[in-house]
Amino acid sequence: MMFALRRNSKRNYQLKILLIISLLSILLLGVTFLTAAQELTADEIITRRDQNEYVIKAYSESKMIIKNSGRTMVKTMRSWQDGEKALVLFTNPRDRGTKFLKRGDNLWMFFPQAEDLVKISGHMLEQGMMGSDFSYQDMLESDDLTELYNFKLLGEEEYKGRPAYKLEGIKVPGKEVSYYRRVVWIDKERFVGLKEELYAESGRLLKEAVVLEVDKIEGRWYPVRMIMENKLRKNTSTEFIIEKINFNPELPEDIFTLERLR
Amino acid sequence: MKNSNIRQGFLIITIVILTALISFPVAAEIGGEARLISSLSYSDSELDNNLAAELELQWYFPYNFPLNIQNRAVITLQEGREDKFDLWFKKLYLEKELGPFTASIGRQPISWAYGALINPVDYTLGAENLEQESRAKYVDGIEIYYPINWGSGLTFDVSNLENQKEHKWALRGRTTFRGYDLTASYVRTPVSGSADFERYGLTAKGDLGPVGVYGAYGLWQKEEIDYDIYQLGTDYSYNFLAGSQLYLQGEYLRLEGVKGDITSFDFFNLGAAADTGSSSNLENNLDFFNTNLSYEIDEFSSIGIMTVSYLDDGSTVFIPNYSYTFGSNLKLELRGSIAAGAEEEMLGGDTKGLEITLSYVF
Repeated sequence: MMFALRRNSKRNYQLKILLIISLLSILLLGVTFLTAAQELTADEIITRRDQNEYVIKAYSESKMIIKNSGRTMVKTMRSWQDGEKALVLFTNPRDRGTKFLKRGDNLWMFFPQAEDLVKISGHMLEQGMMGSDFSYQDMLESDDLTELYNFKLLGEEEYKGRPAYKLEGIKVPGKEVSYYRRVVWIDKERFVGLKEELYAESGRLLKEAVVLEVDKIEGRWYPVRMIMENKLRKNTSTEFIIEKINFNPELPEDIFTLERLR
Repeated sequence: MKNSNIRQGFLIITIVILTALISFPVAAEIGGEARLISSLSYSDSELDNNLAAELELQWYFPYNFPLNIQNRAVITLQEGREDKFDLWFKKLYLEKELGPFTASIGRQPISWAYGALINPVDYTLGAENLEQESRAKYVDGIEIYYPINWGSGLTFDVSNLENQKEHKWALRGRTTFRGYDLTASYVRTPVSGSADFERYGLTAKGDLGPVGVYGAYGLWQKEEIDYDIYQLGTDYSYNFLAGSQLYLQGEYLRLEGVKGDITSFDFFNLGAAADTGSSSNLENNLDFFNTNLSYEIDEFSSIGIMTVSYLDDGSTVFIPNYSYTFGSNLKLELRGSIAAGAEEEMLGGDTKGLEITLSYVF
């Protein structure tokens, strides 16, 4: 009987051990799965950021402050966007009434005083928009970044007090992009860009964009104030401030037409 | 009688617009540009300077304003002219949607620019050349626009309504095809004591790889004129890494069938040239090459030069230019004009000019 009890006790003990091991295994497995779920790939991080920042349809009112060696120029604008189509109307005194319409890679401009409506050559898309450090392409690049660049995660680091992912994007061969390589810092919790460095194929740093302010608008984190610096020039910068933005607004049916550009 | 009614109609529209402008002073915002212009010219060993002050004023209405009224008045004060003070309107018109049409009635600029330095198929010839516009661009008239799709439409223009004989009118179609902006136009201008001056025009503008390309064909016809005009142009810009930009443009222009003495041919006023008759039946083909080279140093300053060359005798006009923006609103512009070539050559002479403009926008 004693033997039987001892055997039972030993068996119970073994069962207990097995149970504990099983529980620990399940727990560890669970933790492992949980850890794996949190380790996002570079593309997933960019996609999460795009869910916040990639705008398909929007109306915005914004301001550009261009600085160069102590001189300042302010441009204000209203813009409407729907995918690859965009219409921008400048409202500051010097450019008041100037509009441009972008449809895909085609750009038309309307000059209000002369009431000229001219198709702009494609190469002009690379130029600074209305004299700013932002090119038309920078402002209107509507393609999904993951389609244009191969991203990889470089690591995680704190940026200005925010935990951030650091990623590198290299141009997808055959794609037309403004910059060969870009390094981005993305807020780990809010999935919004904090800083971006834009490089030439030679490895030279061309521009640096720093987000100065983000805001939660219509349930998504969005950069509302950023500054772009051309790193090849001294004492120049363009600050871009979004004063108002509505996502998915009702846009007039004919807004992206040459008729509306007139 | 008919013209009198039209004039009355225009007067009523002008009164309605002016009344609307005055009736909503709180809602409207006034903006514009003040300019000081010094025009220096040197010819026959004599230097002349002409000073002018210009003030352009525009009432801007809120976006939800019930009427679309476009206006821009110009007040000019010019030194050395008998009529020193001048007030005129660049724009004073009412735009209204009428079913599928959009009508613009009143004083308005009518321009058919497509990026060329010289536009041989514009509604008004010489209205806009070498990035400068003349007052001829602003006409009293009616424009009716009919959209076909986002990039296509038909425009009907009529002006010169006070003309006792007939009005000048035009029809223009515009479309886009594979990224190319294409237009076709017809302009009929009445000529006193003669057959109407008819002009047909075709233009195309688009991209060919990394460069922009454009072309035009014009056919001008009236009693003593039968010109074929061909134009082919290209432009390209290069962005330096430091942010400065270089812009290059070149265009070839050929006028076929110009009769008579071509030395009197006014290249910068093609419309007037078309009006000059000649008894000679000798036909000439005139070939020009125009260029525009511009270097944008930074966001605030740029320097450039335009040239117009008559290829058959090599005479050339050089138009150097420089602009400097002090801040958002104050800008200095210099624009010169230097003729190179003998007096008897098409574009030759010893005339040199410099225009200095200081402008402030508000």
